[in-house]
Amino acid sequence: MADERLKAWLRQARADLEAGKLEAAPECHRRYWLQQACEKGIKALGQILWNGPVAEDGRFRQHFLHKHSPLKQLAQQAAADPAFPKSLHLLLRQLDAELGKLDGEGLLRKVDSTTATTEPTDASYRYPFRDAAGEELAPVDWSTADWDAYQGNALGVAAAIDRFLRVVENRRQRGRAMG
Amino acid sequence: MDNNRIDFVRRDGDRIDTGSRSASGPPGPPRIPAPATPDRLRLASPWRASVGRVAGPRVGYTERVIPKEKVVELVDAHSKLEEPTTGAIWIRPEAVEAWLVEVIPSMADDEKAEEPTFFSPGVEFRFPVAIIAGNRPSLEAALRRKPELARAVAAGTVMLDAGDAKALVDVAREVSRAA
Repeated sequence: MADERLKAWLRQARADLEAGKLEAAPECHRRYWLQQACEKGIKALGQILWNGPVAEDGRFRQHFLHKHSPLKQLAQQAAADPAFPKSLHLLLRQLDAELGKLDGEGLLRKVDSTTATTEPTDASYRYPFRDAAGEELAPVDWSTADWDAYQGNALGVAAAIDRFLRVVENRRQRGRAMG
Repeated sequence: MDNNRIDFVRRDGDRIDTGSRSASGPPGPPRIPAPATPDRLRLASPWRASVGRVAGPRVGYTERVIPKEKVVELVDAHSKLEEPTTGAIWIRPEAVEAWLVEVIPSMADDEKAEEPTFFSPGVEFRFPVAIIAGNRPSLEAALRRKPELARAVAAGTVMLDAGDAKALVDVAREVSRAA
């Protein structure tokens, strides 16, 4: 059951990545799907690693699985709340250690951090925002150069996510072979 | 009886049957039985019970031993995180998991620092991990509360010492002698 769920996460991450490569779609939409693919890949890896106390499974879902930008969110919550569960704090460290090895360029971390807050000046994949010059923009107004500066080069990001999803899928299959 | 089967108890008593590692492949060489845990490394049952997981006794010796260089890599990765580990001691080297006692100065005070957090194998660090983490005062207090943990630390291997590990081992030896 857990493996079926993990497979579903990875299947959807792969579908998001493919959508992110569709040239017919406007760039803001492609970039959004790339971010989604990255996010689901990180959540899949988190599910693979997570072996914390059963009593904290709910908090694992609440603070990690059900959040956008799960790494950024975990880091912010761990920093803000001294009573934040240690198991989740250590999960963030373990994820960081894994990503540090397989994502030397830091692209996945960069994509993870690109979630808009409620601040109207925060760039967003989906909603209008105000840029540094005070101009009201729709995401569709941004150029490739703007998106590159915000998220990273599209080809590089897509390749990094593709590699990432592949190693996570391989890990899932190894786990199944051993289980 | 299939000697390749691995059974262990996970997460508050859930029994996981991990089946046979060689179910789909040709029969391998005969397995060498795992050595018994030396008494000096055996952890007292109340503490182990609180852990809620027991390593399976029927895993071949060669599959159980985690190469030291892999543990070095993991500790190195933890020492490079934003909130770095400044001291690490590898305990229970005979265990299925890499058991690490890690000093993380940025962690909040913790009255239950002796409680390990478990992680399943990841994509870069392909072995299970059990981490006992805290700031140094919390870990020192944990050693004083749990002499069996102190004995394991005293017998452990310092993997990283940026000023904290030796002091922790000294406390562990002191507690071990007094116990």
